[in-house]
Amino acid sequence: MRGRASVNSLRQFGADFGWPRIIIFFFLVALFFAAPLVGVRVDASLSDVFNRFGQNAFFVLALVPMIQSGCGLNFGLSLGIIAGLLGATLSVQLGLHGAAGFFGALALSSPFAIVFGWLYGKLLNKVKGEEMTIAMYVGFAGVMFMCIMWLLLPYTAPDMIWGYAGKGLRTTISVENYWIHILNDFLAVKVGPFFRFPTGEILFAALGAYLMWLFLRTKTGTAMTAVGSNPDYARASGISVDRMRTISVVISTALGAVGIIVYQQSFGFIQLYNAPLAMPFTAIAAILIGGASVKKATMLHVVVGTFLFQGLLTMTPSVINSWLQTDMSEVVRIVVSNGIIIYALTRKTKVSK
Amino acid sequence: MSGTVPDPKVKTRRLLVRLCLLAVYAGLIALVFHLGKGHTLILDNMDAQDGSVKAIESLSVSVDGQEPLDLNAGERDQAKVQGQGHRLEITVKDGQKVEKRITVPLSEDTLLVSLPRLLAGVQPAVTVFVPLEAPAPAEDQGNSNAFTSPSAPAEPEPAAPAKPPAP
Amino acid sequence: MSGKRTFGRFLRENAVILLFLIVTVLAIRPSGLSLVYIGQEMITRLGRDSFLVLALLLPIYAGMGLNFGMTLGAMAGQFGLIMAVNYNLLGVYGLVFAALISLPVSLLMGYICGVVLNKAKGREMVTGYILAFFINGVYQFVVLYLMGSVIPVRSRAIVLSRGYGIRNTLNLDGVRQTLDTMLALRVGPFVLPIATFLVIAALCGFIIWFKKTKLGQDMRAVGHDMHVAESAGVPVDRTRIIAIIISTVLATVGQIIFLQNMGNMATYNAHDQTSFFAVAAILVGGASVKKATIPNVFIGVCLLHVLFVVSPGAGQKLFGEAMIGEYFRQFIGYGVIALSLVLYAWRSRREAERLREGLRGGAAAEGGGK
Repeated sequence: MRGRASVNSLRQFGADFGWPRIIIFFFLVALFFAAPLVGVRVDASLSDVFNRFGQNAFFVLALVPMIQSGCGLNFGLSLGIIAGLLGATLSVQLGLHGAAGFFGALALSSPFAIVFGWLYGKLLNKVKGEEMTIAMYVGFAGVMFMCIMWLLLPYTAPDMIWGYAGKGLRTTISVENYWIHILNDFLAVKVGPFFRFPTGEILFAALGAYLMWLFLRTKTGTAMTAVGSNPDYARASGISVDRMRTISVVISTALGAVGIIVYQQSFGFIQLYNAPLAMPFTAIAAILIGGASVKKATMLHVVVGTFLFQGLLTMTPSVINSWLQTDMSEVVRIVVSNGIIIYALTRKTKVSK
Repeated sequence: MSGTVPDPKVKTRRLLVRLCLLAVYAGLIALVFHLGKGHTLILDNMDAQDGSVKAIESLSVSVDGQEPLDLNAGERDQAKVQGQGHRLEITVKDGQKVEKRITVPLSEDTLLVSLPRLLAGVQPAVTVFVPLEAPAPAEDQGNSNAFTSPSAPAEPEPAAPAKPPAP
Repeated sequence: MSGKRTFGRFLRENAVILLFLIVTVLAIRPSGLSLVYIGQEMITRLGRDSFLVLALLLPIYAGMGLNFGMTLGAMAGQFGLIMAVNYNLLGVYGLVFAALISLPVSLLMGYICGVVLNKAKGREMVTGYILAFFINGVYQFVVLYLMGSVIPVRSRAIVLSRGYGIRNTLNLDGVRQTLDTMLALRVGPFVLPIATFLVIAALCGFIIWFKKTKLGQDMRAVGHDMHVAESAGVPVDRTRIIAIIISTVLATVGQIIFLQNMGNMATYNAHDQTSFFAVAAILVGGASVKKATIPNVFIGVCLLHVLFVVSPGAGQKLFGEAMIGEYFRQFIGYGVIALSLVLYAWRSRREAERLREGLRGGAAAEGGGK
C-alpha cells in the first residue's frame, strides 16, 4: 500500500512538474558531468549559459502576454524585434554611447513597437483561431519589407553603412564602440579567467520578469488572462476581449524590442536583414520546454524554459563536438530546438504548473 | 469498419498482392538500373601490353551514332554511354567501315576498349579501366551550414539567393 | 441579389488573384523583359513546379490545411537523386530510379508526418512547418555525416574532400532536363516540355479519379467535419495519415521533376523553399486553407512565377538596386500567403457571424467585443 502510494505521488509530481522538463534537466546535468571528460570547461560553459540566459530572457518573456490572452504563440515576434532594430540603429546613428546609447535605443524603439504592436494586434483580432500561422507570415513579410528598408533608409553613420556603395546598412553592425556589454559588465562577478557572471544583464531580466509578474496581478493583467482562458466569461463581465488582446500584442511587441536590444548589447552586434527570421522560434522553443502551453504561461515557465533551452543549446553542441571531434553544432541545434517545439505542439493541452 | 478482423482468405490474398507489388518494385528498380546505367568508354588505339596486336595507324570510331572520334596510333579518347550493349562503327583509314558490338558489365563505371584488339578479334577487348590516383577536384570548404548568428537554431527562411533559376 | 453586391463579393473572393494580376501587369514594363521571354518562363515553370503544388491538394481536401510537411517528401526525393548520381544512372531511367529508391523513405516520412499531425489537430500547419525543420536536421545529419562514412557511396566525385558527406552542389548533368526534352515540341517561339506536361496531366487524372473512390470520399468527409465523419464510421486518423502519405510521395516525385529541370541540386538547401513556393502558388491561385481545386494550382503557378520573374527587374528599375528586387520578391511571396490566410480567416468568421445573425433573427444586440 505504502509503496504504491509513493509511486503514485512520484508520478503525480512528474505530471505536475512536467516529464519533459525533468528529462531535459537530467540530460543537461549529464552534459555538465560529461563536459570535463571531453575537455570542455565547466566554468566557461556555465558562464556561457548565464550569458545566453540573460540574452534571451526578454524574448521568452515577450511571449507570455499573448499566450495568456489567447492569441497563441507569437510567431510574429519579428515585428517587435524590428522595432528594436530601428531603435538600435537610430541610437548608433545619433552617436549615443554607453548607458545613453542603450537606454536611448530602448526609448527610440518604443514608438515603433507601440505602433507595430497596435496594428498587428488589430490584425490578429480579425483572424481569431488562425493567429499562429498568420503571425508567422506577417512576421516574415515584415522582415522582408525591412530588408528593403534597410537598403533605402537614409542612414549616414559611417560605422553602419556599406563602404563602397555609400548607402544602405550593413548586415551586421558592431556596437563595440557604443554600448557593448553595458548591462553585462554592470556589477559583473568574475571567478577565475573563464567565468564571468553578467550581473547587470540578469538583474535587468529579473526586473522584467518581476514587472510582468506584477502586471499579471493588476486588474488589466487578470482581465487579459480571463480573456484567454474563458472569453465568454470575460465578455459577460464586461471586459472588451479585443482590447485586451490588442494590449497583450502591444506589450509582447514592446518586450520583443527590449529583448533584441538586450541581446545586442550582450552579443556585440546589431544584426539586420534576415536575422530576425529565426528568433521567434528560439523563444517559442524555450517557453514550451519551460512547461508553458499554447494557452498558459507563467514566470516559472519563462525562467526554467530559457535556462534549460539555452543550456541545452550551449552544452549539447560543445560536448558532442569535443567528443566526436567534429563540428555538428548546427545539426544538433536544429534537431534539438525543433524537436522540442514539435513535442510541445503535439501534447494534449494539459499544462504543468 | 477498420476494426473488424478480416477472414483468412482476404488476408492471404492481401499478402499475395503485397508480395507481387514488392516484386514489381524490385523488378522496376533492376530494369531502370540496367537501362540507365552510364559508363565511360575509353577508346584506345595503342599497342597491346602483351604484344598481341599493334596499334592502327589512323582510324575513326563512332559509338552508338555519336560524333566520330579520330584516333591515330597511340591515342586515346573517351565516350560517355548509357546502357549495356553498344555499337561501335570503326573506319580504318583507307579501309572499310566495320561494325562491332560490345557489352559492358553493369557494375563498372569506366571501361577500356582496345580497338586494335577488337578489330583483330583478340579477347578480351574490353577491360576494366583502373585510373591512376587522381586528386579530388577542388571544392568549397566543408559544409555549407555556416550560420552567421550563433543563436539561430531554427532557420525558417529564405536567405535571399535561394531561388528559382535565373534564365 | 443586386448586381453591385455580387460584384463586391466577386472582388472579395478573388481579391488575391486580382491584386496579383494588377501588380504583375504593372511590373512587366519596368522589368524590361519581353513578353515572349515571360511566356517561355511561364511554360517552363508550369512544367517544373505544378507537380509540387498539386501535392498540396489532398491534405487540404482532408481538412489538414496547407501541408508544410511536403518538405519531407522533397528531402526523400533528393536522397533518391543522390543515389542516382552515385550509381551514375542517366536519362529518364535515372529519374525513375531516383523516384523508386526514394519511395520507401517517402512513405516513411509521410507516415511520420501524418502521425505527428494527428497528434496536433487544430495546429497542423504550424506543426508541419516545424516538423519540416526537424527532419531537415535529420537529413543534414544523414547526408553530411553518414553518407560516405556509414552509408557507402561509390562515386567519390560527389563526396566532400574530407572523405565523408555529400558535396554542397550536386551536378545533375546525367539527368538534366531529360524529362523536359523527352518530347519537346516547338510552337512558334516557345518550347513545350510535353513529357512533363503529360506526367502532370496524369497526376491530375489520378486526383480526379481518386476523389471519386471510397477513400477519397472518406477524406472529404473528414475534411468537412471530423466528428461527423467519425460517427459515420470513417477511420479519421488513418484517413488523414493516408492523405499525408500520398501528399508526401507526390512531393518526392515533384521535387525530382523540379530538380531535373534545374540541372543541379544544392544538396543542403534545395528543399528549403519548396513548401514556401508551393503554398504561395496555391494560395495565389485562389485556394484557401479549406478548399483547393486543380485550376487553383495552375493559375497560381502562372501568376506567382510571372511575378517572380518580373519583380527583380522591376525592383531594380524602380529602386536602383538589384538586391531590392530579391527582397521585394520574397516580401510579395510572404505577404501574399499572409494576405490569403487573413482573407480566408476573416471571410470564414464573417460567414459564421452571418449564420449566427440569421439564427438569432436579424437585429440582435452586439454583445461586447467579438
